[in-house]
Amino acid sequence: MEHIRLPKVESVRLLDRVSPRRSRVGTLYLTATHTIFVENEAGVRSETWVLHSLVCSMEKQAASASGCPLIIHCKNFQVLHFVIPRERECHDVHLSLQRLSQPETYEELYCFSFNPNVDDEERRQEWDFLDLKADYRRMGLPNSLWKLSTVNQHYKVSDTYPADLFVPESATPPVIVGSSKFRSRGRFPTLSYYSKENHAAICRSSQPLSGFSARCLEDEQMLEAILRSNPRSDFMYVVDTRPKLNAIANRAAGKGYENEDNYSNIKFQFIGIENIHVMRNSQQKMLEGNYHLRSPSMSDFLEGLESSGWLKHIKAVLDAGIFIAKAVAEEGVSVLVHCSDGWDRTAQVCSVASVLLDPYYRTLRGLMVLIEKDWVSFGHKFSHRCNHQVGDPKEVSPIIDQFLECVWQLMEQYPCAFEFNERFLITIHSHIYSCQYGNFIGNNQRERIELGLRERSHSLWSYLWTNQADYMNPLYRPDHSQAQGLLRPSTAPYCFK
Amino acid sequence: MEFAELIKTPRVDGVVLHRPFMPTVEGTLCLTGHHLILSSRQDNTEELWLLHSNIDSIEKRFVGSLGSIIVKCKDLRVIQLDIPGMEECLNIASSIEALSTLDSVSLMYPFFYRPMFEVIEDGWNSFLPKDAFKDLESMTDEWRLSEVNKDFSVCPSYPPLVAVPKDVDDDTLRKAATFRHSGRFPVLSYYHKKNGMVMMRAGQPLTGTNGRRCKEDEKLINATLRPGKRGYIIDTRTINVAQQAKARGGGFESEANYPQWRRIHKAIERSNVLQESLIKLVEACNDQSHSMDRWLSKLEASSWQTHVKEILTTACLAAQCIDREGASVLVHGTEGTDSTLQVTSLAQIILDPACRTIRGFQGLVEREWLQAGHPFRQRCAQSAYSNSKPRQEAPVFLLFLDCVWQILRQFPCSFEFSESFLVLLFEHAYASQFGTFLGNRTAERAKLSLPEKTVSLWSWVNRPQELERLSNPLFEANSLVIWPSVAPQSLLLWEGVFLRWNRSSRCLDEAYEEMVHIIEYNKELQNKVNSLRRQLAQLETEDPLLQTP
Repeated sequence: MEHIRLPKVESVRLLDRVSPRRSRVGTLYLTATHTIFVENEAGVRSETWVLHSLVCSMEKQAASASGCPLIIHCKNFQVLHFVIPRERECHDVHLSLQRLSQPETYEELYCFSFNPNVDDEERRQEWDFLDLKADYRRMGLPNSLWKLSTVNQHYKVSDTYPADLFVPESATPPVIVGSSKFRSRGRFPTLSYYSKENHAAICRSSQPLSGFSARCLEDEQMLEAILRSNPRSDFMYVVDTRPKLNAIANRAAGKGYENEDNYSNIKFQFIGIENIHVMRNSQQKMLEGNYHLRSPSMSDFLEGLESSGWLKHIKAVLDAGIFIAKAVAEEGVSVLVHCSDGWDRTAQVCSVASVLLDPYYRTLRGLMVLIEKDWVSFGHKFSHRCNHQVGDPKEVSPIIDQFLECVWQLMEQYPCAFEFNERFLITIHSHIYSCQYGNFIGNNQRERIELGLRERSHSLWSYLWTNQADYMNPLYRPDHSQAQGLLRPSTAPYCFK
Repeated sequence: MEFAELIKTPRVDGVVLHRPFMPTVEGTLCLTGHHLILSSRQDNTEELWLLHSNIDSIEKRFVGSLGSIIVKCKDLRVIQLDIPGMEECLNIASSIEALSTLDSVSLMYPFFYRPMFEVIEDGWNSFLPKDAFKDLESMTDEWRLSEVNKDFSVCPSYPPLVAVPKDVDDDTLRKAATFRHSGRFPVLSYYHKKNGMVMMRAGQPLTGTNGRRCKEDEKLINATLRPGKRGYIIDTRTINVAQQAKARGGGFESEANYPQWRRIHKAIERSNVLQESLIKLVEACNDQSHSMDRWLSKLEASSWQTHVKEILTTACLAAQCIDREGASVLVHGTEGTDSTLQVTSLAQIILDPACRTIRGFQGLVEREWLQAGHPFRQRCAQSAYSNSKPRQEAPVFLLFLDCVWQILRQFPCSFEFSESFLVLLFEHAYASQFGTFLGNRTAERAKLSLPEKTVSLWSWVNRPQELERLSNPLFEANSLVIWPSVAPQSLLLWEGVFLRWNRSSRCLDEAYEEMVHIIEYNKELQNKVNSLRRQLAQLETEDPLLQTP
């Protein structure tokens, strides 16, 4: 509350972006959590609510006779153009919002004050709604090839991994611990997806600390164990999702990639997805082309789209997903995927491959499970990437946005294959940034437990599930051939929208 | 001339046909005067009937004694025929080349085609100017139908009957015609019922470098203005292009001589540029490289989407002047047969709900394109694959259809027809068994006796089974003006035409089917509800005890 310099401003105008001549006059209120604009017009009383946590940036333009323009850009790409009568007021609103939209501590986040009026028992049920163990059971795990490992209980081996992990039956704790010491942030190879039909698996990890020549017996044994967990195959793919140059550069820092000579029967492959910094700049450029130019020409737009490289990156992620999905479904070969830390590109590629492979992940519940598993539990750094609170701007990057867009591109090609609709993706996207629910707070499971999110906040998944009628795709036909098995989308450039 | 002279080899066995997204077929290739036919002779489904007039260009390739002909069609499809035997292949190729480039209109297929369907309504009589005028008469008495052009002597590219202001006599029209390009004096294009404003179209005024004026022309267009009101002249050319036209005798309306009119210049490109654009776009779509940068830069370099945006923007402007500003509008470019028609016809789609029905759209194409003298034969003689230097070819009509598709995509429930109707018109404008798009103007069509000797496309379309196929299941009549967005991100590439042969549409077609099922099921349920309601009401009246007190 102490950050609100001005709780209320009258005769504020909200401009319509489509037809600037149409504008609404009303009162602007600043509360602890929202900016609220209430239209004055008698009888209408339309309200516009914007969460402070959704505010991405603000632009205060030079005052003119009609007032002082304040443009608010939101993380869900909404843009609000206010004109505030007096410069002084505009200044106060600007400063207040600047502080309110950038919480300095976790405690300030909206999820800790959001109170949808449910009791503790109901809250527990909310959080129990999704059970990752049930998803592994659905895949047929544990079985004679894969087992649940307790090695990371209390996050001792890798503090950014979840507590429950599946590893090959033959991987002993010393092998796992040894392998983890040879991997960035201790993120040793572990199971992400397992195909019941042919035993091929998608595993994920971070990069090996190989430098120029280092090797690690346990890590080699670990990969050997993964290979042996797929009895029908005599080799496995190791996919490094980085451009080769980036991976080589990492060798100088004592990191790097697997040497095919040291690991038996692996096929090593670079895929060339760019890093978080490139993706951040790409999105910024694309948004500039879309929103900031006033009435751009067609060539400005297309040039902007091209030079942003956004669709190129989306295509790269999708292509990588297709490579892995085909390896698993068509060749029956297991794949180990990593990038540098194994929480950005790796999460993208593994989850895209899962959507392609398994119709379950194309259902409402399935997509939630997938995000919970490959993103939340495996430690995608939501708080940093989504800028939930004041932090290093270099850590911010739209990695999860790209995953959601890949799913959307697939929905465009396979309109009957997805149980959910576009609105579902948009709602998830919005809440990843909104901080209204506890699901995406923090950077990994350990942090979330320390913050007591299960006890102090609410879960988005059960909210979405109770409102599922809003998110259903009426064209979903699970019995159609296009909805079954592996999706083989076209990634010809003109197929991207 | 006999077609047989051109057919060196009428039949070849063992030809293999490759088509996009279809299994290859082996069969017998036959050439007839108008068709290339490939039949597997097993069942009827595996036959290909291709009109020679649909062939844009061919390429030959030889590997040993096996020759291949790659046939590139005007509808943008590319097929390949593998022909055993070098000589046969060469013969077939040269025959196709000769048959697909016949110059004489009277040898075209429509003159030989006999309908295999029952003609319920003769399309040649469906959209006569005098019938269209009856609708106008029911709304206003300020206009009359002039016969000044009944022998096509005043304006060769106009129909015999045109609607003009009531107070302007035929002499004035004759004089005004001498002042307009190709005699295309201002005529009524559209009457906006809501406020009585009108849209007219014409050729450019022939002011020349010394600023010639024509009192009759001024009188004619001023007669459409209400007292004290101003109108807008939309010149589809930039001011520079319009200035340059003066040197060739053309020009634009000066403020001094037309004080009641405000002139606005837009920048819609003309024939050669558009043809280039189409060729580049189609080349980009067929590019097999998988690079996103390359695709986007080729798409941009084709400028196709820029043309779409420019045309739509100008049409929106015309519609805005009429509906929002309450002003009358005169549209022209140079000849008044291309960009002018794009603008006037699209403005009507925006303003007039009647044009968004299947029949209304046919009427629009008749009035604003066929009768208005768009030279279809010249413009659609070649498509994107032609190797010969373009003469007067230009995808003007295709751009119009693309713009309609953009609006249809933005207002998916406001059109009675679906995308397939637009695709059908594109195909038939370039190659058809029907006579509708033959010739360049009404006078030529009359001379060729098309209505007597050929079948109209509308006769085919206006049959229940065809109407059903072309209709939009989502249609709900919308009586409002619809304003499309022309922002670049709102305009998409028309996949139904440009990517039709490059990507499989199976999944999308299935989704469409599902949508149709849902709508039908919904209708069924609605009917059930209604009949149950009726039953209930009946029971209530029959049995007074059941009536609620």
